[in-house]
Amino acid sequence: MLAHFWLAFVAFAGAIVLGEWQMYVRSPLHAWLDNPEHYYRSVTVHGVVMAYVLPTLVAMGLGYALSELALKRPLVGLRWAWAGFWLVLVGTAMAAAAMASGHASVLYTFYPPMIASPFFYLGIVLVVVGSWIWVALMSINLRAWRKENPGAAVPLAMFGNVAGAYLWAWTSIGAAIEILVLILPVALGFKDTIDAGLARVFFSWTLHAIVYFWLMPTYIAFYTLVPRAIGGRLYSDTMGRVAFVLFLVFSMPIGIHHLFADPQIGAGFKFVHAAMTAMVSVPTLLTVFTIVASVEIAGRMRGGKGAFGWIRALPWENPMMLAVAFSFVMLGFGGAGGLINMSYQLNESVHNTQWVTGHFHLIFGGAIVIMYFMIAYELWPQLTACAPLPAGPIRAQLWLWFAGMMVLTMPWHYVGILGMPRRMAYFDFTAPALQAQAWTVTASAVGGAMLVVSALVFVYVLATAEPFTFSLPAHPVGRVPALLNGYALWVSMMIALTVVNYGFPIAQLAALKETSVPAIPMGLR
Amino acid sequence: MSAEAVAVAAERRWSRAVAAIIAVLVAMMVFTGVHWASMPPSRVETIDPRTLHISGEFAEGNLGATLSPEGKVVVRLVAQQYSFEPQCLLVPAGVPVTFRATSTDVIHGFVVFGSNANTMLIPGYVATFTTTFPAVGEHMMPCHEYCGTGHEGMWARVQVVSADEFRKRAGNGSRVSCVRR
Amino acid sequence: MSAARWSIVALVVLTVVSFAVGFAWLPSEHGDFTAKGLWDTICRAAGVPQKWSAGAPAAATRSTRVVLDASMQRPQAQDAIGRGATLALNCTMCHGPRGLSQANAPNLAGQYPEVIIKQLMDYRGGDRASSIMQALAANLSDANIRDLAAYYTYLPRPRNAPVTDMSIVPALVRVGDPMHNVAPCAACHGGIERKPGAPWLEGMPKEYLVEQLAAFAAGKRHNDSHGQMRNMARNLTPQQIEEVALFYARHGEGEEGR
Repeated sequence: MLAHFWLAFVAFAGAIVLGEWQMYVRSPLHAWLDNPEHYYRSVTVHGVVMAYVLPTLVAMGLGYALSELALKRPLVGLRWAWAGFWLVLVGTAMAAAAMASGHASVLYTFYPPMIASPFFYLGIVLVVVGSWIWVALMSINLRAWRKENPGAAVPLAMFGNVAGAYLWAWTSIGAAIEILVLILPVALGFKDTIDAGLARVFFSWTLHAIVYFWLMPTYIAFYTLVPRAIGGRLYSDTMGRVAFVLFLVFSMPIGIHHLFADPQIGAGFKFVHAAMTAMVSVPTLLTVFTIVASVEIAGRMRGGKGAFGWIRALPWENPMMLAVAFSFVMLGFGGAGGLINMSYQLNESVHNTQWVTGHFHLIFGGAIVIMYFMIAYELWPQLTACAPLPAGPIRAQLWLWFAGMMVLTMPWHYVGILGMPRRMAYFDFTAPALQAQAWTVTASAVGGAMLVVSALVFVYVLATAEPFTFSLPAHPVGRVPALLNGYALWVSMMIALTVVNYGFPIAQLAALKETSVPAIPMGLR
Repeated sequence: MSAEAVAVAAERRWSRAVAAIIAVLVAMMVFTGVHWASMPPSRVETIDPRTLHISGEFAEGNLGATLSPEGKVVVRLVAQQYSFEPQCLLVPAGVPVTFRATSTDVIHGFVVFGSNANTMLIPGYVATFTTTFPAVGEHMMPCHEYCGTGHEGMWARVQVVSADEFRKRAGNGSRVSCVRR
Repeated sequence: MSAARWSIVALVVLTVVSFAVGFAWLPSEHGDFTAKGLWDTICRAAGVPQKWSAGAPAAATRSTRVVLDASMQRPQAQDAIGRGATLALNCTMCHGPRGLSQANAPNLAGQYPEVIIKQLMDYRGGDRASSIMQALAANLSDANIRDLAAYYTYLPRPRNAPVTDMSIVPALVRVGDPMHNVAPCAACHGGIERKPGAPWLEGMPKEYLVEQLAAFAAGKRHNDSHGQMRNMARNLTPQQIEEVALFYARHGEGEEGR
């Protein structure tokens, strides 16, 4: 687990420096780059690390930790777990080499017909395969525990953990098919043409639910770490389970909302995916209620009175309290932005503008990653048994992250509404049409700098506190209904919805021969 | 009521609130889809990007804005690494304009500042959508999907002129644009 | 009803209702979806490809008839090079004995094969104007053209040292002129990326480059499909054209000393 976290955070530190460099060179503070390809290379590395390497490793490391701590038994399949880790490490190195050499400047979305070096794709494949080993181990460990504890309620942390694992296994299939079936034959030179529309559909299969895979560690932390850490109780164990199963069903078959502006999908499927995306906001809204209620319990247990007095009574000097408050503020803004993106027609105004970039940095880099920090801080004592960590630097780090994220993303959202397009290496801010947009990029660059400092503080300040225990639910968990103790129904629904929502578009596009277009290799050969 | 019952009741109230929020959002989507007819490009049509330049709807001589005898305005354009053809689009104000566009090589896309024109251009498919420009003026139209290392230089312009002026220039069935040749 | 059954029913109802709205109700508001009845509407909403516009094309002004194909870029067999060498004896007067011209004709040595193929086919088809080249190309068959391309590709390029001092590279080559819709030259012509069909420019005679850019800008040369080069050249100032031509011509300085 330590290996997973260290690899994740080292890569994170590197990628965040690159991210800030990108912001800086794109802003009015810096002259144009000599070679725009360097910018796109950096964007590719930043994206691949932040989207594929960091969250996968955090989820895997946390998963193994939860498997042992929640189920109170040693991990079955330790050697396999190490094999998975090495696959992720080798895959990351391979992709990094391809990117660093300039042969893979295709961004982390790698949309064909642009084709990069096969090593780039193989690297990503290895990372995903390593994570599949983790998925299998989570399932195996849960099954072993169930055999020893027939009929018992699965501890909530493990329940969420395994739900996340199943979700990831199913959702990663989309990009896996895209890479293995469509892209690699072209990258390796066996084929010259590729269906760009079909590739985007497969990628969209993965693209939305992957963010829920990223989100699982954070939500697990909300439900099972936060209440205990701030001295309260979890308001409702059942609600937590409901939220996790709703994610399992609705996260994945909604990916076409990333393709609202695409010409290869019909209007009918676009609408259906939009409506179902509305459904996936439900578990978040439920979570907000449950966690705020749990926090309120903590406040009242500390003597807070009245409708809002409990807020003041909360343990604000506790870093976990700060983190969850910051996370919820960012979740509020980011979630609202997400609702706008999901709204079929409103999406037209913001598609592929910097609004989108602002949105996902806020919700993922902000709300989710801030809890990754807390997960690391919480687990570190368990993993390393080192000296206690002073809460002061942690609080400072969290404040810096929150403030930096707000300064980074708020101007970003605004300039997106003005229309600024994504993924451009430089802008001519002297042109009259663009002058009004210049300050936002400078502001974002300042925000980014704050984030870099915060990230470096995080990496240095990883220490330990008291022994680790999970949160107690407010009302003791008696009998958990079977539906909220297992996955069979929810996984079946997930698969069924996938078939209904994606089956026809994929089959239809795959059958079209005339849409296979010439591949365009990237990078000087 | 026991504490647990209080909790359950609170949860139920919240669930109803959540359901209401979702219903409002979805209803809004349906309403705007029905009444304001603002729908993203969703008419699937395929085309061969390799032969666009040789003949057919997207050959060079056919690109630009056209005015049909019934008064329908259609703008045709093509995206390639690294320019839109034509680089300057002429459109009338206050009249629905239908865009039809495709790509000759990789995935491009464009947004028109100050309007809701926004689409992806995927080789092999034709993107069709309709929008209206309310006022006279000039707008920037950047490519907004990463299309390679020249992406940051790929901008076109949209010139919105009065409906009368447009009719004068496009009335004879020719394809018009505002590219200075 | 058990919770499981209730969940399934709820999901099915949700799915059916959203499909009904998305496939029947919303498209019914748009004439071009409903033109041919309900089943057709549903098919269109599902994404079955249709023709959506009766846009009758005017007489197409043709830029080029050549379709660039990956096979044009593949290296050819040895005998193709030999045949090409024989054919190329007709070309040495202007293009030089080793593909490096002494006049203002373009250097062909080391040029990308698909570039040579396309330009010869354009001359042959009348899409690129030049009385000399059109006459010479008229007698070439497709196989001849491919052999010539194979030969010239195999010839060594003018020796040129890699550019290490970025300050001598004009801005247009490095970063383009974005607000005038000019991408960096190096993004297509090599240095950053290379687009198939874009010629290798290092060492080209300066007068030739200036002439061609001016021809593109005026629209007199129009064999670039969809105006890829015309869109660039039209937005260049005369100084930029001079600067760029000088850079590429000088960049090829080697034994030839040009």
